[in-house]
Order: sequence, then C-alpha cells, then structure tokens
Amino acid sequence: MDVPSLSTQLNPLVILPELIVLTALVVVVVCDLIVGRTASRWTPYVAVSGLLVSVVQLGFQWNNDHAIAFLGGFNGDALSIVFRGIIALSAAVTILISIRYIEQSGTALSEFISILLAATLGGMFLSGADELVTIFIALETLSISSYLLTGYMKRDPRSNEAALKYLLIGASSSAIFLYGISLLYGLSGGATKLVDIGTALTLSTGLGDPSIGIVIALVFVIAGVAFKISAVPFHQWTPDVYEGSPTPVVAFLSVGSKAAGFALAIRLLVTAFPVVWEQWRFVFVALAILSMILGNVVALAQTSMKRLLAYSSIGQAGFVMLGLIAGTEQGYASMIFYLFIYLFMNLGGFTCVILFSLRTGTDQISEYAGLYQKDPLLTLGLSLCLLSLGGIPPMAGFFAKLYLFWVGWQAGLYGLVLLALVTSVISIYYYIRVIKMMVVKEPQEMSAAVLHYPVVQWNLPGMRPLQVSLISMVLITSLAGILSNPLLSLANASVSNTPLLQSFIKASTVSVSITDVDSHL
Amino acid sequence: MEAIYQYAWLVPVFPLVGSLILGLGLISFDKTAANFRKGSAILVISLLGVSMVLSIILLWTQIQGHSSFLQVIEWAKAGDFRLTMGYTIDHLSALMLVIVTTVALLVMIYTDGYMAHDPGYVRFYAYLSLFSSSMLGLVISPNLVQIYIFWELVGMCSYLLVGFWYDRKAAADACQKAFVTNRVGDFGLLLGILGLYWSTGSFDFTVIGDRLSNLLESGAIGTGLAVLMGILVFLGPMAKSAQFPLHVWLPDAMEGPTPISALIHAATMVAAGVFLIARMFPVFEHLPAVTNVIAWTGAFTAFLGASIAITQNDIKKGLAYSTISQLGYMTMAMGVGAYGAGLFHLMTHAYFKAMLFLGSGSVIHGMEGVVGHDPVLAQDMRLMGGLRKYMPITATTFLIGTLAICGIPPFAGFWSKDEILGSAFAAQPALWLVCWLTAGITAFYMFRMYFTTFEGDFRGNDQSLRQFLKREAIHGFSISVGPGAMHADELSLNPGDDHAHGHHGHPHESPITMTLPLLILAFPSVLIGLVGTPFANYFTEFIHPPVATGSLHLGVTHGEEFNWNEFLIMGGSSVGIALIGISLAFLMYLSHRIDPGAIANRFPALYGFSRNKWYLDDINDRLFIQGSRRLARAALETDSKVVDGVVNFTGLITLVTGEALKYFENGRAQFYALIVFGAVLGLVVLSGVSG
Repeated sequence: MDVPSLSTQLNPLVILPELIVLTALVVVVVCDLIVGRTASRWTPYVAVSGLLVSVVQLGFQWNNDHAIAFLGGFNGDALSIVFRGIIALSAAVTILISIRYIEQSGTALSEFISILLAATLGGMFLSGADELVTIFIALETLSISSYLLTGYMKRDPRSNEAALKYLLIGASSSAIFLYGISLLYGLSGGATKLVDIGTALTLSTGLGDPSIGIVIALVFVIAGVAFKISAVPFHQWTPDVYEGSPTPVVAFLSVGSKAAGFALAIRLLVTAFPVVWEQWRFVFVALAILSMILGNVVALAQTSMKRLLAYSSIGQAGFVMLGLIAGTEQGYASMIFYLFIYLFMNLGGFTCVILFSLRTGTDQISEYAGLYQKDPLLTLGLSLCLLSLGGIPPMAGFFAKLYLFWVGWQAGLYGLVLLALVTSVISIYYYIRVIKMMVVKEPQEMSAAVLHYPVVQWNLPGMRPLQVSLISMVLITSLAGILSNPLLSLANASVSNTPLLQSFIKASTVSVSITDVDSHL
Repeated sequence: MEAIYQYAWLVPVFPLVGSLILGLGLISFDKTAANFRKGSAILVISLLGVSMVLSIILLWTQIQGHSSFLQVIEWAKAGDFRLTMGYTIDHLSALMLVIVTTVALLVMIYTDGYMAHDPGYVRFYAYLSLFSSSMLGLVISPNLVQIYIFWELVGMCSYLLVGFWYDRKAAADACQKAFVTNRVGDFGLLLGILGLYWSTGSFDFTVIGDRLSNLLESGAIGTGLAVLMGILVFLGPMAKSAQFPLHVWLPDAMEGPTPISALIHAATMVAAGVFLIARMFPVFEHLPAVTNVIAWTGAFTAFLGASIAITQNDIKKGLAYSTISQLGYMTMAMGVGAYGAGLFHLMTHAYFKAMLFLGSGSVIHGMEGVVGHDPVLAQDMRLMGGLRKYMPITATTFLIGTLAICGIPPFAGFWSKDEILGSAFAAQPALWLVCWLTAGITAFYMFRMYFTTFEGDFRGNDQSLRQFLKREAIHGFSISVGPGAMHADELSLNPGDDHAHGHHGHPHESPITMTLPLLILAFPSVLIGLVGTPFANYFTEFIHPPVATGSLHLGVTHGEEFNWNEFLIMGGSSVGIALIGISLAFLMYLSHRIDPGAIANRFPALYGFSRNKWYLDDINDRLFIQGSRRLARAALETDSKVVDGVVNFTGLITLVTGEALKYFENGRAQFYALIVFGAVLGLVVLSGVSG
C-alpha cells in the first residue's frame, strides 16, 4: 500500500479538532515545565483558545463527505461533530470557571488543565468512535482522567474519598462494559466495527427472536453507558462524587462527560443493536422512569447545593432519554437541542455555585438566605439558570423541555411524557426553593455566610473569566429559548446529515409499519 | 424606494432604542439620569421624529400605489410547526403608523410642559417611548402571534403608565383594575388564537380566513364552534377597546397622567382593538353571527358611554366615557362591515380626541394653579367656568374638538360619523336609531362640558363648594348623606387648611410646549375629514378590506354612485339631532333657562342610573369580586385541609423513602457495586422475558 492511498484510507484530517486540543494540551504541559509556576497565568487561555479553535474547526468539517477515518475506527459525521462541539465547549467554560477555584485551593493549575484536556480528548473521541477498541480506549481516557480530576484536591479527604469511590464503581462498570463488548466480538464472529457487528447480529438472528446472548451483551453495554450518564440504578456514585470533588470538575462531569455518554449511547445502540431495538427501548424506558422519579424526588430532601445539582442532573438525564426512546428523527434532534441548552444553563448554575463558595466557603442551601441583599448579580444569574433548569418560560430550558416532551408525545410515549411532566413539576419545587431562599428572606433572616459576605470584587486574579462565563451563560440561557432557531436548525441538520441515523430511522419506521400491518391482519 | 421598505422595521426600533437608553440610564445611574431632563426629552422626541418621517414616507409611497410589502424570518421551526416573525407594510399599517407617530410625537412635546415639575419626568419619557415602540410593532405585525406579543406589551405599558403615580391609592387601584379586566379579554383572545390555529393550522389572517371558509363549507368544523372562536377573539378587542361589559377599566385609567390618557386611552392603544377587528376581517366575514355580536356590542357601548357621560363632573371621566362611546361607533362600523368607515372614524377620532384630552390636561394644569395638586378639585368641572378668559388657546381648540366630536360639518367628526351612520342604516335601521340618538346625547354632554368649563363665571375660589366636593369624594357618589354618617377623614377637612393659599386667584394659560400641540392638532381636527367626504371618498378608496367581500353588506363603500338626496337626509338628520343636543346644553348650562338639578330631582332613578354608571361597577363587585373572594376562601379551606394533607402525606412518604433510600446510599463502595451488578442481572432477566 503506497503512502497517498494509505493517507486516504486513514483520512487523518477528520480528527483535526482533536489534534488541536492535543496540541493545546502539549503546549500547556511543556510550557509549564519550562517556564515554571508563572506560566499558570496564561496557560488557561491557551487551553481555552485551543478548545475554541477546535470548535471552529468542527464547524468547517460540517459538510465533510469523507467522514470515515482510520479504516472505520472513527466516524466524523454530523452527529459526532455536534457532540464533540458540546464537549469542547463545556471544557472551555469549565476551564474559565476553574482558574480562581484551583488557585484559591493552592493546587497547581496547569496539571489540572492538562488532565481536563485529556478528559475532553477522551470524550471527543468517544463521540465519534465507531469500533469497539477505539470506544473502549476513548471511554477509559475519559474515565481515568475523571478519576484524577475528582481526587485533585489531594489534601481534602472528601475529594480523596470521592475519587476512590468513583474509581471502584467506575472499574466495575468498565468491567461489565468490557464483558459486554467481548460478547459482541464473539457473537458477531470477530468483528470489531459497529457496522459489521450490526450486520452480523441481524444475519444471525434472521426473523426469529434474538438469542439471550445478544440481550446479555446489550444489557452489559448499556450498564457501561448508564454509568456515564448516571442513570438510575447506576447512579449511586453521583451524589458522593459530586459532593466531594472540586466544583468545576462536577460541572464538567455533569455536562461534558454526560454528553459523551449520550453520544456513545446513540451510536452504539443505533449501529450495533438495531436487531434488539425493542429490548433496548425497554431497558431505556426503565432507566428513564427510575431516573426521573428518583432524581427529582430525592433532590427535594437535599441540603447541599452540589448534591441538589447532582440529583437534578440525574433527573435531567432521565428527560433526555425520552428523545432516545422516541427513536424518531425529531427525537434525536430534541436530545441534541436539550443537551445544548443544558450545557448553558447547568454550567451557568455551577458558575454561580462556584462564585458563592469562593466568597463564602460553603455549599449549604440554607447559607444562601438573603443573598439578594448582598449580591444581586449572582442572585439573578443563579435564579435564571435554576428557573431554566426547572423549565419556566421564557427561559431556554422551557423550550428545550417543550420540544422534548412534544416529540415524546408525537412518538406515542404518553405515559412517559406524563411522568416527565409530573416530575418536572416536582423539580420546579426544589429549584424555586433555592430562589426563594435567596430573594424572599428579610434582612434579619440572612445566614451567617451572607452576613459576612465580602465586597464584590471582580479585579482579583481569575475573577474576570468567572464573570465573563457567568454573564455569557446567563445571557444565552435567557435568550436561547426565544431565539432558538439557530440551535434548533443545527440540531435538526445534525440528525438529517447523519447517514447512520437516517438509515436506522427508516428501518425502524418500516419495521413498525410492518408490525402494524401484522397486528391489523 | 425599495430600500425604505427593507428598513421599515426601524420604525418601532427607534423609540425602543430611546426607551432602552433612558431605562438603562435610570437603572444604572439613578440620580444623574433623572436630572438629565431636557436631554432625555430631546433624545426621545427626535428618535420618534425619525420614525414619523419614515412612516410618512411609507404612507406616501403606499398612496402612490406601491404594492404592499411583507418580510418574515423564521423564528422557530420544529418539524411541521413553523413560527414566523416579521413585518408587513400595507395600506392599513402605513396609515396606522402615521396616526400613531404623529399623535405620539405631539403628546411627547406636550409632556414636557405638563410633567415639568414631576420628579418622574425621565421615567415617564422612557415609558412613553416604550409604549410607542410596542404600538408601532403591533400595527406592522403580520400574524396573530406577533400581534398577541405586542398586544400584551402595549397593555403592560398602559398599566405602568396608569399606575405612574403609584403612591396615589386611586392610581394603584385603577392600574390593578385595568390589568384584571384586560386579563379577561386577553385570555379569550389567546384561546381564540389557539383555537383558530388548531382548526386552520395558521396564524396568518388571510390564510385563516380562507381555510376557515373551506372548513365551514366542507362541514369539517361546526358553525357554532367557529362562532365561539370568533367571539373569543373578539373578547380581546372588547377589553382593549373598552366595549361593554369589559369597559369598566377605562374611566378609572384616567388616574394616569393626562398625556397618557390622550395617547394611550384615547388615540392609539384603545383603537388597537378596532385595528385587530380590521385585521381579522378576512376571518370574521365568514361568520355573520360574530359580526352581529360585534355590531350590537358596539352600538350598545356607544349608547351606554354617552348616557353615563351626561352626568360626569370630572372632566377627564367625561371624556373617557365619550371615548368609550366613540369606540363603540367604530366597533359597530366594523360589525356591519363598514371597514373603511370604521377606520376613518378611528383616524379622525384619534386626532380630535387627543386634542380634547390634551386640552383637558391644559385646563387641569391651569386649575392646579388655583386649587392645588388635588385631582378631586382640579378635575371637577363644577369648580371651573369662565376659563375662556384666562386660557383662550385651550378654549378655542377645545371648542373645535367639541364641534368635531358632535359631528358639525365641515369638522372631521361629521364625515366619519355620517359614514358610519349611513352604513348602519343600510345594514340594520335599528342600529342606526341607537347611534343617531347617541349622536344627540354626545352633542349634549360635550357642550355641557364646554359650557361649564369655559363659559360663565369662574367658581374655583368658592371655598364652600370645595368643601362640598371634598366631602362628596370621601363619601363616594351618594349625595344624600344621612346624619351621623361621619367619615374618619372628614375631621381633617378643616377650612383654611388648603393647598390653594400659596397659589394665584385665577388660572393661567399653559406654556407654549402644551399649547403648540393643541394648535397643531386643531388642523387635522378640522380638515382631515375632507379626505373622506362621500362625494370624493379618497379614504375608502385607499383603505378597503383585503379580500373582496362576498356575504356582507358593505354599506357606503367604493363603487357606489353618490346620491345627494340620501346624503342630505342622513347628514341633515344627524346634524339636526346634534343641534337639538347643543341647544339643550345651551339652555341648561349657559343661559340657565332650564335647571338641570330640577330634572335630576324629577327622575332620581334615571339620574342615579347614569351617575352610578348603570351600577355596573357595583354589579361587578357583587358578582365577581365578592364571588371570587368567596371562591378564594373556599379554595383556601380546600388548600389547608385537602392539599396540605396530601402534601404532608407526600412529605411523610418522602421522609420514609428517604430513610429507606439511605440504606442504598450508605457511602460504601462495595454496596454500590453490588447494586450495579444486581441491576444488570435484573435488566437482563426483565428484557429477556419481555423480548
């Protein structure tokens, strides 16, 4: 094989965005080594600009016809571009909000950023991985970096505990996932590419019922995915890990890592498991019901803001699964749209939580009492983000939820949509409780933390990026709903431009109509 | 000329920019911005001036025969659901743009004089500019959703401005009343819009009209349902244009500053309802039952407003009831299909009623110099009289406005009112009769107002009369106060303890910024009617329904031969009854040949009926306010017993589950791993069974 044809076969330019992130990572590490501690003044911005350039580069690849790279190991189709964009954006915002936090905790910033960039790389590769080995390696890159990030506050015992727990549970879920894909390898007769596996499974099943082996492989694989998106009952690590880890890491885990999990779920299930479509829908219905109920109900009883957001993110993941279960073109589009909006509102919320804990050193909800009197901007930002998370119009979250529920209703998931409505009403209660705590309290009811609230100063080192991300996240959260058309058309286009989703939707609608015909006969 | 259409969306944007600058300035630098008075006024007025010039150019090109222009962008799209936003410039919207911008500009100039001493001067300009922007946005909206958005925005500005002096209890109450009443109408409108979308799948007026007629023909939806949706939509105009029974908020809204009463509650916003009916014309023309309801509501409101206006002593309240009555005329014209006539009256009324209100503001401004800043005294006509001597410009312009509203030729009101009466006669003579009588009453109460205010002797320094008015204001409208009915505030009514002592003994003419708008408005009030004379009706040629109408009778519209005989009979009869009304007013209030008090004593029931506004406020109070209080109390009972019980029960369950879940969330990693394996096993079994 000569060099030109090899390079066409490998098509390495598809992973140019990842290469840019990798370059940023190397620059950060090397410069930190050479220049020393003073480098931490500008390395974050190198990382952020690397991530943003990578997002721009993703935009240039939008209409790429040669999306398959590395002999089928990586697929740079529109779906993966959108998810890689979400992950890179969330990492960029995370870096902006972590600068001050990390410096104030007295740990090294550059290492933090390089680990975070490694996690981002893992997530981005996971979104496009089309082959079992690539998937597993990308997944482990993401996971191991996440463990490191979780334990980054090494002097804090809570952080250590969280990292250890995350590692143990993560290892067991990885083991299950690995078992699942090894089963797939065997069942498909030695194929590692998802497409080949899908064909092999379809052929072996024929028109009869799928063998129990396929179902076991499916459930094992889903267990790995569900761990990443923290769906109930694979969620137990979430509250403990969220509570113990540094808050910026939680922000990344709740958005970037979760988006990677959803990207993996869509690609893996749609490509490799069309034959057990009914089964994986059933499993996800169960996960969605449990996540929506447990996430939102348990959040009611939380006293710590980080735990509250942890449980709320479990519930939110349950809502997103609606789109996956619907399985229609609109369904996937609504998932992507929701994840975009969720990126902004959740990161906005975490920005506010970080700001508050930087200024007062606490995460307790009761300590927010009367904050309005001392810091109106923070109160406004947090209120808007929480209202959006609760789905109150005209915030962006309302439109995202509306679209998701509407799609679910169209797909005939009446029970699930009703349950989602009820649980989102419950969620409004605990979001509003925080707002009420901040706004309604009389001056004499102020908490001790708010009473001794420091004067708001934005010119301290590392505060500007926090301010920038706070204002931009809140602005987007408030406006993206009313001006949702660009995001909506992006989400729709990413689904209609992705061949694998198109063929799957076509196949599933055909099979549904066949079953309809059968039932009529 | 195309370029100007491309940029027509700037018309509402200019005032919006002005209000944003002032609003942000007030929020960020409170004190400094509030002191930057002249600068703010000049900024806002010149921005609106640009909009006005743009609007006039647009109207001019439309008159020259430029085709109508529609520009939309896709606002939200999800599957087959599309929502577009944009703007449309056609004959109707171009005309409305010019009306709104000219009246708003003059009112803004007037405001400078009227609000000169008010601490909220800059805030007032910010609201005014925001209102102008929303109103302009409303008239160029191409679909129902956008109309609804701007509809709520103008409503919001109206509440803000009615409650501008929020420290006065009456103003705060009035603002709340306006809000609640409008909510009833807007809810109906929203339901109607959604219903129409549900049945026709569109928010566009003509598309809705076409599809609705198809659906009605094919029988896909019943006529009853279509009529219900039409009436629900009409509830919106009913509240905004103050039609019976949702008119009750408008007189109370006079608690706002007078420039607002002129701009919002006389010329523009209240006409938005009529405008919406005009826009919905393609829909309503397929529903004769709805147009009948509209026509009769309008006619009844016209009569109701006029009959109440007879006995009002507050100059602004009197004008407010006359506005209700005139809006009734417009609505009725829309109902009988006289599209052009209704909009013609909208235009003439906008100018002469704005002038009348601004004139009343000028009078109040002058009176405040004598009796102090007390709306009870400064707005009561019984304390006025003979003001012509002191305020000649105000008196002359007020007289012109009065003649215009009474329908005396050649003033503007004659032509438009005559056209409406003609169409009403052609459609249903009964409607004509009501409106014809109303025209007489209108002439009577308007001249009563003019005579008591500007002619005769000045009564403002009569201390005993002032005391009487004060006492009456405290006791409400019941004049016969029983012995022992002492009010708590009455003790504070000490003679001599009055604001007036520092003021002049007689009123003065208002400053030039207030009289100039009056003088300018006098021109259209006299002349604008000439564009729509029945022998050369340029107006109706320009403004006509968007679709060729089939089923409805169009009254006096294009293409008909002009008949001098008919015109003389119709015009003569309406002028005749107006003259009778004027003579009666002359005999009662100027030459005092007839004693109005004696008539009132002769028919106390009728007098009380009119004086207490047909007891509608009391009925509303009994029926809705007390009713909803009772309902609220019942709801509270239910809430505290049933709902709280459920909530407490849920709380108990949550606590119990929380306790139970604790065992699953015990922090031990090996237990978590166990659950993961257990869950995997369970899912395999379950999906194996279900598959």
